[in-house]
Amino acid sequence: MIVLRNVSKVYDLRVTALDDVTLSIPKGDFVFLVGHNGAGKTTLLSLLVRADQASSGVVLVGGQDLALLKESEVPLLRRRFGIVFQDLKLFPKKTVAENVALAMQVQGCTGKRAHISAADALELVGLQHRASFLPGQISGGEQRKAAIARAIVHRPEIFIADEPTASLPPEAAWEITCLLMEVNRLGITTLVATHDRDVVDGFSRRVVALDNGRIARDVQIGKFMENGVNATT
Amino acid sequence: MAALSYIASMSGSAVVNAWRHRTMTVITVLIVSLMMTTLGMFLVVENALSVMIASLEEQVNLIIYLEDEAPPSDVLALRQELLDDARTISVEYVTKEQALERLRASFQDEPDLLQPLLDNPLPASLEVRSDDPEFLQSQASALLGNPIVEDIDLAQDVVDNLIRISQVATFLGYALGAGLALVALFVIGSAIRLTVYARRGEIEVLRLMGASDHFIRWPFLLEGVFFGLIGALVSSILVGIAYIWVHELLQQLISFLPVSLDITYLLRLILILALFGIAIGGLGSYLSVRRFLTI
Repeated sequence: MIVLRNVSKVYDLRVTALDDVTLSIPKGDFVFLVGHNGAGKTTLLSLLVRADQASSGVVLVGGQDLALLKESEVPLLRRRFGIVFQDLKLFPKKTVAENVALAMQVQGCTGKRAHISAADALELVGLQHRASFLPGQISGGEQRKAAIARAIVHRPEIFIADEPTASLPPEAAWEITCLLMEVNRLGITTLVATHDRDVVDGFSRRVVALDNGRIARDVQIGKFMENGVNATT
Repeated sequence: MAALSYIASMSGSAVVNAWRHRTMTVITVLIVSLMMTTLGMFLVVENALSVMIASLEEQVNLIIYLEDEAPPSDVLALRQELLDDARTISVEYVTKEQALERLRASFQDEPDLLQPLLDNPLPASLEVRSDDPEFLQSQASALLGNPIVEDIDLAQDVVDNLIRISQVATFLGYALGAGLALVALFVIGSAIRLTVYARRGEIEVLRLMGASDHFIRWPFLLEGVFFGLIGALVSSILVGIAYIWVHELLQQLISFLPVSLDITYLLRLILILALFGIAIGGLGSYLSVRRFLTI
């Protein structure tokens, strides 16, 4: 589903954000992308949605080489993704339901259909009772659920979340991660960037660790634990 | 059907955005209304002058006063000669008695003024109407030497002056209209630019969600059209009131001219203002979005 071959990204000819990264994520896989701040997690995610372009190497999504993509084709690529941004980026003046329905409207689905799909997605994340609330009127955990609902409402092929549990209390972080597992169970390839050690250690999933733009480790969490080492160490 | 649903959805989005940023909406609509009302006022004044000119032109253009001793055959020959010219609309022969009757009619409130008249001093005349001022001018010059002609009165001066005033008013109206259109473009463009700037975060999110250029641009374009349309609506009300007031004023000031209220013109004026508002609003936001919304 996602393939990166010898991908590097250099900003301003000096700052190397990604350095010769090679990575393959099969369809339906669940991957935790871990690493310290500045390790290259967000850069990697931005390359996948063509928010940025690799300085060298090949990025393939569903067999499509993103470097060969025309500008007019970029929106179509992005519609295959569901994204939960680090700062969520919910529209503050739209209700939770409107925020979620917007993702359907972007896909070209208007009117009642968009709102029915939004209601379904909100039910899936357990937020149907907050549909008519503004994002500012609900808790941080609920805002994350709303962002997840917005990201999955159109049943994307790939779901990416950037620090979805940041600054959440452990219980709420656990709940959100369980929700991400649910998303993955729908058959959606899931890529979660995080440096929440408890979350990563609590779930037996594939972990790709980035360090200074390079892949430091790419293993199943079980193997980390067997060696007595935390995934995020 | 899908296209209609899409446009309805975009229009709804534009109206909601305008409402959510209502301070900016009110300011923009007020300025656009002011601009369009000024333009509308000029159109009303220009129309009033045109109506006056048309009304005056329908009156007698050239009066040929005849010698009392002029042989009737010569008078008839002159009348026929004038009628034979295609530029002549009509030639009316007014006898001395009819001329006196008219004079009495115009002084009916003060009949004492005409009491001292023992004899009818007024000459018979030919009243010539034409829509070609140059023809009337040439006829006036040619007939001055005619032995049966006592005097010539070319009543074109008043019309000419009005035409000049109307031309100046029309020119000023169009010049001002063009200037105000530019101001409106700038105002609407600035309002949209501010909206784009205020919503740049949302636009970035929409881009990452895969929104097409149209999806992002259309609400802004429709918002501009909405500003123009509401501005046109407000100015239509004001201009409509002004139009009625101007006509009442004209009827009081120049009651001898048949200046009537023309509802068809008023409706046409409202339609022009609405179309102008839509065009200016759409163009202003299009230019702004094209320049400041790089997708």
